[in-house]
Amino acid sequence: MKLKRRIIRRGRIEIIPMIDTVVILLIFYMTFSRFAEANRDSALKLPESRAGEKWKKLPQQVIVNMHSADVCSVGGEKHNVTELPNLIRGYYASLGRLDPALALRLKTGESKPSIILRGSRTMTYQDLSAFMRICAKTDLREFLPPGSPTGVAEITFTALEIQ
Amino acid sequence: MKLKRRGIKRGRIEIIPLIDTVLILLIFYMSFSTFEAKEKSIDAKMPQITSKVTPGTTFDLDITLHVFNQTNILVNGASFDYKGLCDQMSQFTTTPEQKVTVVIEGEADTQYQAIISALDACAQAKLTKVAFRPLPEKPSDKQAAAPSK
Repeated sequence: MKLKRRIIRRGRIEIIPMIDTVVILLIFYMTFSRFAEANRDSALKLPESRAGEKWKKLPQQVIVNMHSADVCSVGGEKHNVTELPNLIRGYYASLGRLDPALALRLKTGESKPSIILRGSRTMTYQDLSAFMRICAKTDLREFLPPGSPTGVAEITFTALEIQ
Repeated sequence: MKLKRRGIKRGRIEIIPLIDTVLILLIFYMSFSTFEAKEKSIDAKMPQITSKVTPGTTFDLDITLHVFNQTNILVNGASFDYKGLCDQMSQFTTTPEQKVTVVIEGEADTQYQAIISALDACAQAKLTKVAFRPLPEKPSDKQAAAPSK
């Protein structure tokens, strides 16, 4: 009896589904890299406003995402509002190593430290008060020109455009 | 000689590439629909205390906004809703001689949205020098200010 030979199928790469998959992955990573870059907490529901301008984070700005006084996130990590002074000081201290030109601009007064507050619409004035007190007391004088007052004076509030 | 008939190819829809394309479009629109509501920024410059006061210094005009909620905002004692507040704030003009400082205060349970609405009214009236009168400090907040070593 003659046995039938089994046909050996060679593995091959299908180009068209591969292109589809690659495009999907590309879109996925392109979309989510925008969140990572801007340190924005996408779960936060911002309040709405009519006034305001489109914004982009500047290197001397720290983004604080605030759900309440107990839940704030900076750089993707969750903290309590009382931990913010050390985090903000840590950020400006690291600029000397990461961006010496900016550190020099801060030291000469050309640039000013600034905080972008992305607050949840559900938080209360009690939470905002805690944040404002922290901003007023955060001591950044070692990174600023001599005689500078204590505290961060420039605060940017973010909101969604009213549709 | 018998001529061979040309085979007529019927147009047909390829299902698998169609599904791929639809899926890509779905992901694309789902991703970008989250950006539909544009995020905006309102700048506020907090006044800082300096000890030196030179002769002839003009002091800023202070306007106090006490925010209870979006429909009840007191401006120097008079009550306004958000729309009325926008009209009211536009009457305060800023000149080089006379600058206006807005002081926003609220109740402990005032919603942040109402505070932003008050700030929004100030921003529409080009009043960017805004201060917040904080509520009394809780004991837990007092430890935070000192730099850690």
